[in-house]
Amino acid sequence: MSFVVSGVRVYSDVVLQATTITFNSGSTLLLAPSPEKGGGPPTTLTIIADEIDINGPATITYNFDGAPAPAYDPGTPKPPQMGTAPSGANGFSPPGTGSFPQAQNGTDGKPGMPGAKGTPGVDAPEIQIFVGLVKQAASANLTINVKGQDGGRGGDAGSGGNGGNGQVGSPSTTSSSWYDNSKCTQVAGKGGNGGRGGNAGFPGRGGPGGNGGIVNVFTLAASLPVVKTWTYVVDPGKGGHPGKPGSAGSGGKGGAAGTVNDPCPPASGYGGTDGPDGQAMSAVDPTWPTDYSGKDGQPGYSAQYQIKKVPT
Amino acid sequence: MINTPLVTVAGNYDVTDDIIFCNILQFVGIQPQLVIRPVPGSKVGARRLLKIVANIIDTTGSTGATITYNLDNNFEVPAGNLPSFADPTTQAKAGADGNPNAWQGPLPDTANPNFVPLIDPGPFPRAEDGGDGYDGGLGGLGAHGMDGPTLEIWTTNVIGSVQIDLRGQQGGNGGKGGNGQFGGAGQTGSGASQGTDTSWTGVPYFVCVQQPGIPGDGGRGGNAGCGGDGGDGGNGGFVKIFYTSGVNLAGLPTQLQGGKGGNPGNPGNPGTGGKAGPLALNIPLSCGTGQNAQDGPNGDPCGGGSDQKGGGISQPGGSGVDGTVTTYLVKNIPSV
Repeated sequence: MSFVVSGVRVYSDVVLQATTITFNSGSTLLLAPSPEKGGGPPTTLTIIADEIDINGPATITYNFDGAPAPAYDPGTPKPPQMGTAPSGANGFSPPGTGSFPQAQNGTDGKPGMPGAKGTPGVDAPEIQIFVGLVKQAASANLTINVKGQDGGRGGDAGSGGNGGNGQVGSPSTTSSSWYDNSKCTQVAGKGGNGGRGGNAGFPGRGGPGGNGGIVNVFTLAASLPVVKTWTYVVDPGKGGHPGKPGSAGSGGKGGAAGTVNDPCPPASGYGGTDGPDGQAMSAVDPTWPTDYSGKDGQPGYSAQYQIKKVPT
Repeated sequence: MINTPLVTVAGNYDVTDDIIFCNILQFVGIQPQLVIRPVPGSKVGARRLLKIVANIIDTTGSTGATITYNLDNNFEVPAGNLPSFADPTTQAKAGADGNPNAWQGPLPDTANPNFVPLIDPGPFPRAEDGGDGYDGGLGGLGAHGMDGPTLEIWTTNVIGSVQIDLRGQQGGNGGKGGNGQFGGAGQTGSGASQGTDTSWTGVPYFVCVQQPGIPGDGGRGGNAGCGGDGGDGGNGGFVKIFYTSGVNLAGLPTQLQGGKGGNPGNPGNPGTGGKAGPLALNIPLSCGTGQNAQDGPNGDPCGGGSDQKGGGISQPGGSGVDGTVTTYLVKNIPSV
């Protein structure tokens, strides 16, 4: 049985066995899932052939995620995560004036939600070739491109909610009588403290890069020099970039001191304290752009071996 | 490439080559394991393939023969009761613990300023607040579980049975979050002072010249650092079996499930809020009672539940994908 590769020929099985496999000039044997077969990506391919004929430049590569030609998986990163994660809720700000001696504090803002993880790059397939004889035109070459796919960018995080404002302190109270001056019966109350701002949401981690593939070619002695001239691309994919972290929520404002009525003493210093801002990502993890980047994949390798007998 | 007539697997037999050509692959003794190890010079996490071309695979002299892998170069204590230190029965490394991580035992790490009660009263009208504690650090990401390798077997005869265990490794747990620092204690309020005045009838009485100062509030406790994200589980391996007619394929059972994701790391403990500074002593009656300060709030815990508060949210690792097995009938197998 002969198997001819012209243009782009998609192949979805894990074994390709033929008497003769012919690569026409400019052709590509593309490993890709076959929807009609209902299977996943063919992450491995074993080629068994008595003879391989290469009539011009030709390529074996893969396309597991359906990106359009000619930028198959080795040349296209995984798509980035879209959208932004929800932000944290703002803290509660108690309304009106509070009770004596201390008005209510504002509550803390909630942290932002983390961004979605980036999609991992696809690991390149492993390709094992058993061939008896290789016929290759003078200007021909076979490129086996099993570089790992680059990882996708992580999603953006939500922002921290703002802290609630502190409640206003209670007003001072006075009394007066016919025999005495007005007297302060209760000094002004303290304002409530502002709530803390919510922390920034963590960025989505970049997807890790896919690993480079493994290519082994087994052939008879006469063809070993030829298969050593083929181009083997087994580089790893790069890790995806992280998403953007959220912004830190602002601290709530301290509530004002209660109103001072004469002759009560001034209430300077009675205001509530402003709440601190939430933590920005740079404070949580100063090296987050690196820590949240996807890791690069690992390189694969290729080798060529001489055998005495080709399987059939 | 290993090219030898007989390969005998007894105990743990490590393989760092990627091709074995032999006439007989023989397993002997109790629980012999052929362990696929990294190719020399390769980095952890690189793809791994082992091709076994053996006319005969014979396990009749053994019990519990297994082909498995250890690609993370670690020898962790195995999970469960399985007597194996291979990756399918162990878990990838946990992430690093969060930094900073405040000491919370005796004499805990406390923010500055941290005032001693009744010593060195603060200014009027309001004394200084205690310092806010720093937040605990985020735990590190758990390691990615190892992916099961690809195993390609060419054979003409299987005698007995050998379990092929290429399950993906469980992802590492996230590192523990750091503890938040304790808040500092507030400063003591300033003292009050009184003088005298005279009523319209000429009777002297005491008046308050300066109200007692407000003590400083206690500082906030630092938030607990969140645990690190769990590492993703490894994918199950891929097995290709090329066999000639009559081979007992039931003698090559497989386990190829994806590894579970690691759990998020435990969060640290939040710091305790600092105590409010006290009022000054001996406040004259004419000055009434002073205003108290507030204790600092405790730091927020970290957690993924609906009641979680500050400090972010950690995520578990995703599960790996199950591997697959493919069998293919051939007339003969390759030889070297």
